[in-house]
Amino acid sequence: MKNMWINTFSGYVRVKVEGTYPELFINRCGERKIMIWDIRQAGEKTYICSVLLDDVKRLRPVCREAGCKIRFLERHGAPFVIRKMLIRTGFVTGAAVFIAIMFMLANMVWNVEIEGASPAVEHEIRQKVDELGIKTGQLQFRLPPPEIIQQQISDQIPAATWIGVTVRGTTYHFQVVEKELAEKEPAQAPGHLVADRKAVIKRLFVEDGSAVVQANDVVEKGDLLVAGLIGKEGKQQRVPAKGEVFGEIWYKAQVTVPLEQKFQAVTGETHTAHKLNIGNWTVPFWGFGTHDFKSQKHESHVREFNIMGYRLPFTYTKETNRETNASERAFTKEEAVTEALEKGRVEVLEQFSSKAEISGEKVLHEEQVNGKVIVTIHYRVIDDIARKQPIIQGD
Amino acid sequence: MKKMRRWVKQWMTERMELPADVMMNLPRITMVGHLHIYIENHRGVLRFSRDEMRLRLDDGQLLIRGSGFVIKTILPEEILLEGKIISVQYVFENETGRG
Repeated sequence: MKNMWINTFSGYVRVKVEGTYPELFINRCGERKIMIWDIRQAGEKTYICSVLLDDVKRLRPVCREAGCKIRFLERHGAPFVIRKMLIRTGFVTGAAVFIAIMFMLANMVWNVEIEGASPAVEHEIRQKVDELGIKTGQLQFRLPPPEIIQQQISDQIPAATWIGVTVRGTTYHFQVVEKELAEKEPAQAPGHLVADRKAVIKRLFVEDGSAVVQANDVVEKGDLLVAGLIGKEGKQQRVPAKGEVFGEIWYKAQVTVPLEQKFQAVTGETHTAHKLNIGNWTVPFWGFGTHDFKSQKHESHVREFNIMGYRLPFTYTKETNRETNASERAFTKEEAVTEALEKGRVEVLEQFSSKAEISGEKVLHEEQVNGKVIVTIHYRVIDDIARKQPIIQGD
Repeated sequence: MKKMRRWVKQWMTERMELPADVMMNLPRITMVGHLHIYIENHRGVLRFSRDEMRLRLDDGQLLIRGSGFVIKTILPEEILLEGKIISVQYVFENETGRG
C-alpha cells in the first residue's frame, strides 16, 4: 500500500467512468500500471475513481479499449492550487506581505532589559544603549552583534565590572555586575615588613609598626624595614606592620629598535558588499564586483535571522574591504635612540608594580648591528619594596 | 501432465512446509474485521458494485458480499477493498465438491 497523501503533491483528478462493462476499465488500468484508487460505484454502469494527473494522458487509449466514456469531475492537489494562486495574485502578495511584516517584526528590538544595576547605573546604560541605536523599533540586523555591543558598553560604563549582552527573541538583555566596594581586609597576623630586593630607601610611610630604616639606607633582600613590634622594651606588643617603603632600584635594559619600520595604514578607500547566504549558496544583493585593493584588510560580519525563536536557514553577510597602505619609516641613529628610550620606559615599568616610577635613565651603550640599533639603558626605578613577613612565634 | 505438476507442487508444499501461496499461486487474503479486505495474487476484477465484488483467481473466483464497497487501491496483483464485508466465498470453476 502506498501513502496516498503524497499524491496531493503531484495532483490527481476524480474521474467518472461510464461503459457497458466498466470492470474492464479497472483491469486494463491495472495491466498498464496506471494508478487508480478510491473506486466506488456511482450508477448502474458507472464508477468514480481517482487518477494521477501524470496518468491522465495515458487514460484515453485504455478507455477506447474498454469501451468507456470518461468525464472529469474534480481536481485536487498542488498543481491546481498553484495555478489558482497565480490567478489570484492579490491573495498571494497579501500572504507574502504578511510574512515579510511578520519577519520584520520578529527581527525588531521590542524591549531592552537591564538587570542587576542600580538605578543610576541603569539610567547611564540606558542612555549609552540608546546612543548605540538599540531602541524599540530598530531592526536587529542593523545593529552590531551582541559581542560587540557588550564590548562597547563595557568600555563606556566604568561603574560596571561586567556587562553581559544576550538577545532573547526581540529583547536585548543586559546583565550587569556592578563593582563592589573592596571588602574589608581581614585581620592580619602580626608581621614585619622586609625588603624584597636590594634597594636604596627613598621614602617611607608607616601606618602601623615601627620603622627600622631611614631614607638613603641601603637594604639587601630580606632586611627588616618596618618591625611589627611596638611599645617599650619588655612590654612589646605584636602588630601587623603596615606601610609603604619606596626604594630606588637599578635596572639595566637592552632595547632593540630597527632603523626601518613598516606600517600598515588604512587609506580610507573602502568597498562594502552585502550578501545573502542560503545554505551553501551566496547571493550578493548590493555591492557587486570584486574590488580587490593591492593591500587590504578584510572584515566580514555574519548575521542570522530568527523568526518566533527559530533560526532561519539563511544568513546575511556584510563584507568590507579596506585599502591599506604599507609605508616605511627610516630612523636616524639619534631618532632610534629616542625611540628606544620611550620603548624601554614602557617595558621597564611593566616589570614593576603599578606604583613604580622612573626617576632617572641613562644610555650606557649603543651600537648599530644589521640595520638595528641596540641600546643599553640604565634605569633608576622607585618602587614599593616592602613585603610582609609573619613574626614566627617564639622568635 | 498439468495435473502431475500440480500434484508435485502440492506434495512439495505439504512435505517441505513451504508457504502455499508462493508455491501454488494461491491468493492471500487478509481481513481487518469487516472493514478491510486485502487480496494478493488476484487475476483481475470480474464484477464490482457497491455490494458485491467478484475477483478472478487462477482456479476460480472469489466472491465478496457486503455494502458500501470502495476499492481503495488496485495494483496488478493486489487489491484493497473497503466497506462492510458480510461474506467471502470461494467459487470453483471446473471442479466441484472440493473446499
